[in-house]
Amino acid sequence: MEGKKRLVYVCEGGDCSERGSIELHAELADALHEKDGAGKNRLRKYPCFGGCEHGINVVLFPDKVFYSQVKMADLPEIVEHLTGDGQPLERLTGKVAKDVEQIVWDLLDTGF
Amino acid sequence: MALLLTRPEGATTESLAEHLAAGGYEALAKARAGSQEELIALVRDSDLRGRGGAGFPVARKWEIGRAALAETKHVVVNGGEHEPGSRKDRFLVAKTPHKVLEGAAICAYATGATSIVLYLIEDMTDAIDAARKAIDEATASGHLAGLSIRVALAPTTYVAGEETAALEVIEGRKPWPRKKPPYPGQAGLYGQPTTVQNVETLAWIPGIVTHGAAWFKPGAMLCTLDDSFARPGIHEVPLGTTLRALVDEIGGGTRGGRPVKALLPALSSAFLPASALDTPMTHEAIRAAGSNLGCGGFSVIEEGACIVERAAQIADFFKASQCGQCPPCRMETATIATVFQRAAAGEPGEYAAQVEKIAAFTKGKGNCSLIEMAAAPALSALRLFPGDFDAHAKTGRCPTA
Repeated sequence: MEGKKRLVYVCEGGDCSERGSIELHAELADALHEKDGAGKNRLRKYPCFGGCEHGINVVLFPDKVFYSQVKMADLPEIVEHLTGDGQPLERLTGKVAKDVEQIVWDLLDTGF
Repeated sequence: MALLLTRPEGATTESLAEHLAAGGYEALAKARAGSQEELIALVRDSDLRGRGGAGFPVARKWEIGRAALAETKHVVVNGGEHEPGSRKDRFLVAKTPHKVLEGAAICAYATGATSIVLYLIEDMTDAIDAARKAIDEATASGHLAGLSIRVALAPTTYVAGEETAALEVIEGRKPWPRKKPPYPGQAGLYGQPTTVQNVETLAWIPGIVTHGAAWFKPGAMLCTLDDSFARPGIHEVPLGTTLRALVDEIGGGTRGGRPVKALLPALSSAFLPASALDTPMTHEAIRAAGSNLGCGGFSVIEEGACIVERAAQIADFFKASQCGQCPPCRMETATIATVFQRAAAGEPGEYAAQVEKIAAFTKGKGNCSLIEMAAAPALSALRLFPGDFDAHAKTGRCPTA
């Protein structure tokens, strides 16, 4: 049913939500509703990515892009990438440890 | 006849006079008349293990305390009995505070400590009152001369019972477990060597000193049976008792009268299936059967009851109880809780693989053992009762509802 949609996960864990991830999720939802007419993306919340000290964390799957320290100000560029052909925002990647990224990919591979 | 549980549930607190009439504080005098080494050897012969959950040999802990070089050393009596359902430590302090104090004073002698802190949860008002009164009585009578003894209050937060979280609280900070090493025996309270010992563990000591190691053997532990048993309450259970005898004879069987489906020795232990009921209750045998005795806060699940919902409750508890300090623990407890919420709601999914993966990733990470505690019941539920999960996934609801 998901087809080939990209899954966009926003962490709703303790640290990330304290940093405003719930509001960021809502803002992203509005932006995608407005700009993702083709329905390329499906937005979801995620319980915790284990990258708490680098929140807010946003993960794209199956692209396997792990964004950290995401701020509201980053959303326009993120949405542009999600809805167009732009590249991932490199400045937001590579902040969490590799093993943390890997367990997240392993879990997402199982459908979690 | 009970060796430790000498006071019935409804009894008043044992006074100093009653304690003395029963030979109280003679064990402390006897211990002090010998050497620290002799005392520790006696405790080693008794094979007493810590009753807080980890089962660490008491003599080894005392030897570490004795060998530590420092002017000031401490004993912390850990009454941070935060395990839901367990109330044996509270009972011991509330009913027989002098026995606990005497055990702590003997531990202080063995380790060379001059300071004792009784760490009790702030809502244990009966135990707190009894402890304060007993400290006043025994200090006035001179039985605890040379020792500085005080009560420190723990918050009700689950993780506050972890031994280094206890040290943090006593020092006036929030209950966050410390990174180890150093262990408390090396650098504990205020950076000084500290022997942290569970209440029940210390309560056993006067009897062992008075009557000898053979009196204690094969050993016994206090178990709190919750209301899933027909006869709930605190029971003194000789080690080696089979789990079947624990359930049927001591616990009076299951509350609903149906056969046992699974047994949970503590919330933080793995489920044991009915096929493990002939396992003798020893640390080694329970471990070999795939679980852990913990602090003996037993719960039984009867035939017809659903493991999925029970496992989901436990997972929610650990998610809410982790302290938030270590990201892997946050991630693991949140992941497991979500897995079981989905399973309970009947969403199909690779639940076993998900919990196995996150548990393998987080094992050994974090400052305390809560990570392993959350994984144990979750993994065992999935491994032992896959049918319950399948039934949830097929029908979208609990098959027993």
